[in-house]
Amino acid sequence: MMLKQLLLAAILGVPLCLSAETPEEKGLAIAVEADRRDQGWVDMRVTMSMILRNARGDENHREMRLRSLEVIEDGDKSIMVFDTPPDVQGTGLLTFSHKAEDDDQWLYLPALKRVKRIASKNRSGPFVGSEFAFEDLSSQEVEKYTYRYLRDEMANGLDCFVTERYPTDRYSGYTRQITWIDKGHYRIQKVDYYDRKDKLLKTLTFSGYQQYLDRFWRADSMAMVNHVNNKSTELLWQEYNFQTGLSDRDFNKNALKRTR
Amino acid sequence: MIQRILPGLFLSLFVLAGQADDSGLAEMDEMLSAGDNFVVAASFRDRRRAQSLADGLTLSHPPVVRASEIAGATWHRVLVGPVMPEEEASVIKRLESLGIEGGWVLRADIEHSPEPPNDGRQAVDQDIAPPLRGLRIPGSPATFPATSPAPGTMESRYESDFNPVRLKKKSMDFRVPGKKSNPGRWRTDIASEFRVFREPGLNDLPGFHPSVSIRTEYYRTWNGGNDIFAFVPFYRRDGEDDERSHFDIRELTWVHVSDNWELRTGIRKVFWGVTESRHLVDIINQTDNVENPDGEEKLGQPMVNLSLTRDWGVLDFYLLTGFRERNFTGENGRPRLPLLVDDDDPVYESPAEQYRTDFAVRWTHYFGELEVGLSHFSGTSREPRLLPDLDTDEFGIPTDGVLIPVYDVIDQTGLDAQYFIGDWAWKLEAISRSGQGDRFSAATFGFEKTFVGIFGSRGDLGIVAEYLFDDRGERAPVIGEDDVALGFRYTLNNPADTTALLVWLYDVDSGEYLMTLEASGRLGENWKMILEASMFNGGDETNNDFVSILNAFDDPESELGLFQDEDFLKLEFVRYF
Repeated sequence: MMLKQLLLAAILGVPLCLSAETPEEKGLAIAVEADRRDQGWVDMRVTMSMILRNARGDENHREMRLRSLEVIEDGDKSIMVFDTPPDVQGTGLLTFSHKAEDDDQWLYLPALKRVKRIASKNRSGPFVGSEFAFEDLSSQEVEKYTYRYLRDEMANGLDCFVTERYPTDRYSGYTRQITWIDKGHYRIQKVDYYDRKDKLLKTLTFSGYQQYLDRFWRADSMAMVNHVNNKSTELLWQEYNFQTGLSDRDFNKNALKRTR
Repeated sequence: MIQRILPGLFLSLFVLAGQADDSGLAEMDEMLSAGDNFVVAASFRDRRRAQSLADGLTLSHPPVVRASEIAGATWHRVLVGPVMPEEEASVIKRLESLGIEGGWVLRADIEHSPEPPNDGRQAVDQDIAPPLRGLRIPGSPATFPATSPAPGTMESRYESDFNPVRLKKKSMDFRVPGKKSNPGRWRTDIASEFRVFREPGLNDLPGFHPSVSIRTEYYRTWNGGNDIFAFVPFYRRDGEDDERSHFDIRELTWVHVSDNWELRTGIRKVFWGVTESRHLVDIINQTDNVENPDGEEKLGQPMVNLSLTRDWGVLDFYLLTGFRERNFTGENGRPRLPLLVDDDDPVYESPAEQYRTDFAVRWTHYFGELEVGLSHFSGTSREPRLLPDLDTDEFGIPTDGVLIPVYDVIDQTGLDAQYFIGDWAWKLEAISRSGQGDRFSAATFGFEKTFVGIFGSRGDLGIVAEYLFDDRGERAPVIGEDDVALGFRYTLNNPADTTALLVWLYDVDSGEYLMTLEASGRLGENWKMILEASMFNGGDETNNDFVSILNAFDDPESELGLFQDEDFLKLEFVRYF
């Protein structure tokens, strides 16, 4: 049996070391490579439109601005500010994501001029009534999951690695997620989210990837479909700008308060 | 497949460029070498249009037309090159000078695409379409389906978007130097409010109080966002109470931002603190008492505020130039004390009266899950003492009178802290104040615990429990000398952002309690509905004669008794423009 495998390997020219890699090692290697390819964007500004649709097809819209700062040694920093609906205009969310510990998150309420810290456990809840949870939109650091490679499969017309990942955050709303990452550019194409009862809850599909600064791939659209309530939320990203000169001073509570 | 035998360097380019048609492929092979980059001037479905553009361009690198396969459709790109990396910018500039904006670089970059594709399908990569930045209409699902569009849609979208004339209008520079300024914008909201009081009360007042208010915000930034100007005027017209009809400048401010400091000048609003049932530490702004008796609304405060951001936290210095008097409801205003507050002639401890300049300093920082604020204020107390000014008859028995606000000069040191353990938030606010009689201390502490997705729903239930303490005990002129507050906050997490907050404040000593309900939700995109209810209960009933009222006013056991008949319901509709 062993001999047969060796022979087969020799004929096909498959290096043996590959088969020695465990599914866990391969899953992690894919995540690390995807992360490595997305390093060096420095900072980013982008606007987002969010379309919430219920099962009947009624729509609700939100417009937001996001700016983020790449932090190589720890998680990224970001500020998201609402432009519409008008009653929440100027409401801001400051996030310091961390590789090892829980993220730090603050919410600014402009009417009260009050900055409120959000407890980390509350991040499994829905983000502004959408099908995205706070944690779905946080910086996806490699350390936030453990991994297991499952198989190769087509997704969005591309050959993908299919990897299962398990949140390390004990307050995560998920037991596991299955991700499809294309082999060509290591871009996430699709994610299946399994709830705490390990039931398929949501599917997120990325589309319209474009390359910026000849290097960084960003999706134009992220569509989250909830399989339980048949609601969906589409996030459309527009006007990506990179390396705009943002720095730490643009990502603190003072910056959160002055952005509107 | 030809790709299998080509070196990886070349392959990566094919991944980027898509699968060229057969005739083009061989030419490309010869033309390209390692590291070669091309500027893509434009792309067309129609080869003739691409060719005519290429023919019309006079450049140092003669343009060529190459076909690419994108999302199952053939595209004809007008390529200029090969260009050296240092030439790219000048070629793009040259194209711009010829009226073709949005040129982008098609790069043979090995670093980003090191792996040979596994099969031919790799090349049919819909995402290598030319950049589509800034070319879409937000919120139009018909144009942006989550999945790949039908070929017909795709074609028409590209056809119209990718001719040079349109591209010229829509610049595609995605490397913007510096930051953007906001050239200025106005936002206005108008609200109509209806308040209904259950009883006529001790003063036999009307039960229905309609009112309208308008708030406008002007906001602009310049100097790359480092200078900010904001102007927020507010006006309310009340149907019953002249004192409640009032104008205020909530904000008129200029902020200058530098690397690790900010200078904020003008009329502003500042909030300090963490607890929910009472805001002890918060002291910069005067309460807009006629707006809402809950004390959450504030009047604009003139100031100069220097804020320093350092590794060890944020340090704020405040120079508070001028004092704002607290406003009180008038003759017909509600809810109100049976004794009217005469705010026309307040008493000040400071000879400078309302022109005294006050000082404050505050340091805030966080250490992991612990947030701390330490503050000191020195100046005229925002909270007046109310002293009765009585008329008496010939026997010395009071027959009538008003309350006069007395503003002492105080020093107040405050501490606020918040600590998170999982879904528990522990909160503390404590102050020590001198200047109003003997030095005293007060504190509010408790927790907030949130149940995310309670009972399997989308909603979150937050429970707030706080204890309120004041070491003046019964002499404290405010609610909260030995009280318990229990609150329930329910957030539906629905698209209308519906929330409800129920708070029950119980005075342990007197048995009195106050219940408030606040609920709000959006109606459509531009309307919001707010419902509020307040119920005062317990305490001794007060007879409607002046001496009884005075006695009730002096009775330490009765903080709320005077408000017994002031229960009300408030409904507000806000329209945002």
